[in-house]
Amino acid sequence: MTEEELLSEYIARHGTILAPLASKLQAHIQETLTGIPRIDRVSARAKSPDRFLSKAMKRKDDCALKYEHPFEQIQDLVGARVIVFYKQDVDAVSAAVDRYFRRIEGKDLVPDAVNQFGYVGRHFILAIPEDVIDDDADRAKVPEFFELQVKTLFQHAWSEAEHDLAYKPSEPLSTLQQRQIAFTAAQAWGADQIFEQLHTELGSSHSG
Amino acid sequence: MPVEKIFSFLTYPKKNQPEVAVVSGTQIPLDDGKLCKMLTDIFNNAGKDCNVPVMFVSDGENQENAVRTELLALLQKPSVSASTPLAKRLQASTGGTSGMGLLFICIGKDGESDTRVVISRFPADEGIVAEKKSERLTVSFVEQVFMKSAYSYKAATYLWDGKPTQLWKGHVVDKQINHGSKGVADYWIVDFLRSEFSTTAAQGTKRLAKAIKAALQATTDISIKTQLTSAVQLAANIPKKSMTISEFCDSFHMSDAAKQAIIAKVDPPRLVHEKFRFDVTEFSRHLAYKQVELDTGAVMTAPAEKFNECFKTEHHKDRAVFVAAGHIVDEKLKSTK
Repeated sequence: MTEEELLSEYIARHGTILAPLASKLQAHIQETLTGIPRIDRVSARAKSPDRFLSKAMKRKDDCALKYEHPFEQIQDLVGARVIVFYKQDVDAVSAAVDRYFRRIEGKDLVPDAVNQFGYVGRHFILAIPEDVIDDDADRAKVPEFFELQVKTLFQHAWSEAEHDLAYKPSEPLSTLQQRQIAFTAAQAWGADQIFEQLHTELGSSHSG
Repeated sequence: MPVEKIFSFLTYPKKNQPEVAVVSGTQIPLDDGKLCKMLTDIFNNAGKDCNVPVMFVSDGENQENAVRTELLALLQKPSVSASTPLAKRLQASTGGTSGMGLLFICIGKDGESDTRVVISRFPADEGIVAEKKSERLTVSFVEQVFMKSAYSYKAATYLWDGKPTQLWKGHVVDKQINHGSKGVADYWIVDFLRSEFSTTAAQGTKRLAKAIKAALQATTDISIKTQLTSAVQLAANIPKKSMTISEFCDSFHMSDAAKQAIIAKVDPPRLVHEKFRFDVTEFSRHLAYKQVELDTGAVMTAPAEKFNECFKTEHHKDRAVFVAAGHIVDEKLKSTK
């Protein structure tokens, strides 16, 4: 497939399959997590055609395409996100995810070194539940998996702001700018730590 | 759908004995004989016969499953040696109850671009052979007879389109899982294939509970309501057995109208036949209370599984009298029922 053909096929799938699927998936996840406290929001989206093409055209060090079969290998064509108040709530949502979904991957994304600060979030690759796939769907074009991210409010706020900045610079960030971004990540991490502690202390004092 | 390669292995029940001998295997030549015909039939019908969707369980954080890895290696280069890890795995998963078995792995094309693999196991049994030679009848006892038994025949099938990230999902048939024993189903699906039903216990049970709840709200037929609430009460005693929504209805001998009331609320409709393990805790989360309303305006509510203990019911002609006794622990005023 040429780049144009790939984009054209994706745009067709985006409108007819992926966007409606994301919408149903969002409702399904919301319903599944009903009753779990302190969920700020649940959202799901189909990857935009521009982002898909950018990812599909990525190349490895040897210049070969990273994804030979982008429609199957890119597993976040449909992505969902659950934002919760505190770190404890990430665990509660993760437990529900394991009860109701089949996963092929689940991991905590954290910086490589303990003295670094950056992106933090729990990521799952889950099978698209049969409940959101219509009987007459073209199964060959419906993705088998979707990505679910579970994050605290602070993790989410930091990653959104950082993600926005990442698309702006026309040249690499300076050392100071990199340190500034790491500093904001450290603040978000610190806020989560304190809220986790406060929630535990105040929660236990209330129940006591 | 022509079968292109058939491999066969004799496997022994060697669960918990990983040190035991390597299974012996062979490639079966394709010919017009009865064995090839039988295996070809199984191969051609696998898409229909294997009707329980399963999914490989991922090991840990990464997208890995040992059986899937072995299956991918086999599909990329089919041979006896590439099939051997699966045979060894079956042997190591087979307990004494299941006994000796004959494993067949059939590989061939399905459609223009897909490759299908069908893994089937035939249990060994004992039998008597009676042979008529000239005017003499010879009768002898044989130990290793392999039966395509309706109650113990197992198979699994996977379709592969040649793409490396696929092959997570397949379909199985295991006649024994219909007997309700978790242990038997686990032998083929969980232990051997390192898989689980595509639908989790909680998701399948929630789907069933929601359909019953929606059916109860939608119907005005008291007979249907009674059947559904009775089934809900009795469901508290169901063990963690595998079932479909359709089988749940049949197990309580519901009338066709009651079954259809439930089925009509399953969305999408094909999920009526999706297998899952019943989870009584999840079921109770969605259908915790039974409520009866009288034409006088009285409303009685109690935990579904103990409603009949909480309320003694007497019927006088077309009227019902409910009697409840206990200590008052709370009183409420509500704006809705």
